[in-house]
Amino acid sequence: MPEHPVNEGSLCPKGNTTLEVLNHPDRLKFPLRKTENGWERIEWEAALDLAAAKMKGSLEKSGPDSLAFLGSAKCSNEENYIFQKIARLLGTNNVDNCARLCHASTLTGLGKTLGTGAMTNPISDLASSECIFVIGSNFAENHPPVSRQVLRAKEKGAFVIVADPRITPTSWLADLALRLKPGTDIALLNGMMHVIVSEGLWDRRFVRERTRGFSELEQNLQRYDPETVSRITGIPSADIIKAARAYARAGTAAIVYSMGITQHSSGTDNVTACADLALICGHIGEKGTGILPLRGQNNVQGACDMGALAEFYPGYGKVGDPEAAGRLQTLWRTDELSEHPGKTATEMVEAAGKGKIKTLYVIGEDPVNSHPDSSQVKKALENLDFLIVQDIFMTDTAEYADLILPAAAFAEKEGSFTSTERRVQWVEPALLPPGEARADLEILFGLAEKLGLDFPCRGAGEVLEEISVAVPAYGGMEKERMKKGFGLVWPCPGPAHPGTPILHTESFKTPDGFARIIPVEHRSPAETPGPEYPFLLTTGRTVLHYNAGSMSRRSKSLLKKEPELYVEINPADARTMEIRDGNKLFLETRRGKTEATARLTERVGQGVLFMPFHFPGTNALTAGSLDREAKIPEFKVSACRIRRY
Amino acid sequence: MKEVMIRPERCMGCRSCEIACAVEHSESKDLFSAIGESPVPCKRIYVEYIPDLAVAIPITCRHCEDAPCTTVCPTKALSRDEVSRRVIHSPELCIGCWTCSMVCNYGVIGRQKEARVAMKCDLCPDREIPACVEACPTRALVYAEVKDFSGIKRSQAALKLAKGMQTGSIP
Amino acid sequence: MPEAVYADLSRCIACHACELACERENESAKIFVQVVRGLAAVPVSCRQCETPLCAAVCPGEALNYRDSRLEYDAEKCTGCRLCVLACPFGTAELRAGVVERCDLCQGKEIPACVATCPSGALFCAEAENLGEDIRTRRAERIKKALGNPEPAGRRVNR
Repeated sequence: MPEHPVNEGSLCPKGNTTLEVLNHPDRLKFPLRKTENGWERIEWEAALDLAAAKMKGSLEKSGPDSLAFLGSAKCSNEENYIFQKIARLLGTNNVDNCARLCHASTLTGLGKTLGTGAMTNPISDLASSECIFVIGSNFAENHPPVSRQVLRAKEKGAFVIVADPRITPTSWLADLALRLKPGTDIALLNGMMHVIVSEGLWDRRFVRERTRGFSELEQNLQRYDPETVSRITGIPSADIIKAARAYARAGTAAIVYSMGITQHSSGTDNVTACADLALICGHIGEKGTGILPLRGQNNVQGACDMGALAEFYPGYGKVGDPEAAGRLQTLWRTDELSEHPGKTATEMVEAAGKGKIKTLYVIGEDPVNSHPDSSQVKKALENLDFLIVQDIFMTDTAEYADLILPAAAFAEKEGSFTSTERRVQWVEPALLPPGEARADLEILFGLAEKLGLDFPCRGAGEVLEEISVAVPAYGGMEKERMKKGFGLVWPCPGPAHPGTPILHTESFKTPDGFARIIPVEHRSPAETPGPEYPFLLTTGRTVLHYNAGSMSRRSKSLLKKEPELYVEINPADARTMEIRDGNKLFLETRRGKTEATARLTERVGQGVLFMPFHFPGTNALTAGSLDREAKIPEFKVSACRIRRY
Repeated sequence: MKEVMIRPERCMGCRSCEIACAVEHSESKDLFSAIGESPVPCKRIYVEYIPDLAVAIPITCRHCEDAPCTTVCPTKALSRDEVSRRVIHSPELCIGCWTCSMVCNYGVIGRQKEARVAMKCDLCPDREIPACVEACPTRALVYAEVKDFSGIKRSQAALKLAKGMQTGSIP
Repeated sequence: MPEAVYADLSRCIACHACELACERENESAKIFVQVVRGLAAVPVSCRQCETPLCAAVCPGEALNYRDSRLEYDAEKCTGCRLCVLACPFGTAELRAGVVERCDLCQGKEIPACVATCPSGALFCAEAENLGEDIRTRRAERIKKALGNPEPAGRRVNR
């Protein structure tokens, strides 16, 4: 639709090939049970009975915390809400979604500084920014329609800074490209803040009237003079100064970041540093001025809002907070909610490996390919008593399942989805699900009934009504309102409220309304290259595939263009190792090994390797070291060695 | 080589250059008979009016040293004349693919409707001074070598500086 | 008026969406994004030439330039590949015995590649108007360079 405010009718390659994926013959059509002779088709009734019986079995034998629920950020708000409600009513907070692997550090980092872990401005706001600072985001490949707005800003004379270890199509759009060493983001951000503070470019009024904690930051920044930072990051000090000045002096400036910031063992600190930079310059709360963490999946924002998270109830009430629990208990008419934060997605796998989790229910996720350290994940899944996988395709994770439930894809069901810019939109079914596949909501209700849970509501519309009570920011979300126009942007507390595209215009969502400036220190990544593993391996996305690839690797036109796993290596490194373009390489880290085709390119610096994570194999290499607060794994840095095949 | 240099601060948007250009590239080279001619004579210089800033700027072929249009032309219809150093266009070779127009940084490659070929500034080979420069009433267009043009600007800047020294505003 | 798909090369981000949109609509892609040394990308498609070389060499009159547009008659095409040799852009392709070329998605309001382009690099234009947009932008930049001694957006510190 050319009039849509976000994409204006444009589509990225994945969007263009959606129908190939949805109409693929591999779609799961019937519930399947694993037997000694392979997969056996069973009836829905039997499948749900089996699932409920196994869950009840674990519940009775080993208590509620032996159950775990891994939700999907590709499912609707209603489905995620019911999913976590089932988990919590069964007495466990072991419910999580893949946000843990992409933007958990945004929730913790922006949560403690600004009060809300979400994008502060809509994407279209970028067009009115005078300076756009992109760090750890390759939006040109991963969110192509965003580039439309950035280019529009550039046409008006905006200055675009891109900080990325690689040269990407995003850096093509940059006026200043900063090629930093992976894992040195905090040093760069602190270095920029050092310049801004020492040159007096910070916004005194904003800092005085709306923030707390500036003096601690000032102290902390003293060590980060441009020369020191230049040594850590590998960026010329003149460029650091230039970037700092451009960002601080701009009338409207936006920070755009993605997983290059979040997927680190210092992910929360990285996000905090971004927030600090915006706060000291007063670049928050106006049109074209804010922090824009770009989310990776259609409903990852919504899944978090719905409380499909181990430590948050719907609407971000902290687990353990008696007030938040009390509210839910009244709404759900129950008095038994667990007060202990549950296991996060990464901890679930670990617990399963140790035998603490008996039954795992996975919806639309492929932990074998998307979690770090695949070999451990596989071991953990084998260790489970019972694994239920609900998906649209036979993923690598589904191969380990005991029971497979075929689900409908996004275009085959109704429900609401919350996009990265907090825009909640209603989706009507356009296609029929294949075979006996059912909408996830229908499956969840069926399962809840078998589990003996008494749910009063039925259709997606009715669930949304309950959500609008449970999640204050969704208070005014009504199906009919959303269907008119292009959805509503939360917070939208009441039926007459127009929605809030820009956050933090008057005050912050912290208890006292002030934002917190929190100084953070640069720390080296958990693993650094050494003599044994001399290369630094970083991972990311390419434009032609989507996440773990279970969908995009089924589109033949996408596969034709990007058929196999490859590794980008700098030609200078390749020369010393006598590697030619197209050679098969053998990559090895402390955790595992994999094969990939060499691609010689200047896009990566010397000593750095890049691999996309859309193919099985990449995450056999990555490390499971976690961020302390957000528990996000450090996908972006691992030490690696290579040899020619 | 001499080029058409622009002094935008002098342009008042009268479009005399455009008319002079079209007349010069007509059959008769006379305004009154040119109007009735077929094919209709076309201009190769464009006065761009910017409403937001209320200014007009004449834009014409810069005869770039490393001209993108000559690089992309598949049939060598656009080429650099080795003697005059001008970017010249040979209509008989042009296939009307408009790749040149796509890559031109100034958007000054037009289309000749009847012949369906590209059309651009040729710096009036039959004249000593291009028609547009001669027609400009405010001398916003200057026909000069780059180094001479810079020379003019330098002397103007020096004049300003000297005036400043006299009034004592520069210590 | 003859129209064609043009590209603003500074905007292309090599996302290949146009290729896939074309493939979806026309079975095989007729636009090709070429990445040059990992540092820039150029979408190449039929330029809809006004004196088309492909038509000039076609012996069977399968390709004809008539009424400001190139017409293609698949029945007359013998698959001799002369047009493929003649096309300076390599956009005429022989598939299944007949030549396939971009027809600007006949019957659609705008070609699929233009509609889908996420960065707005592709656009449909008439050759005559092509320079207009570029000229305006260039003029604005010259004016800005001359007119504003202060860098744009400089903020007075409060």
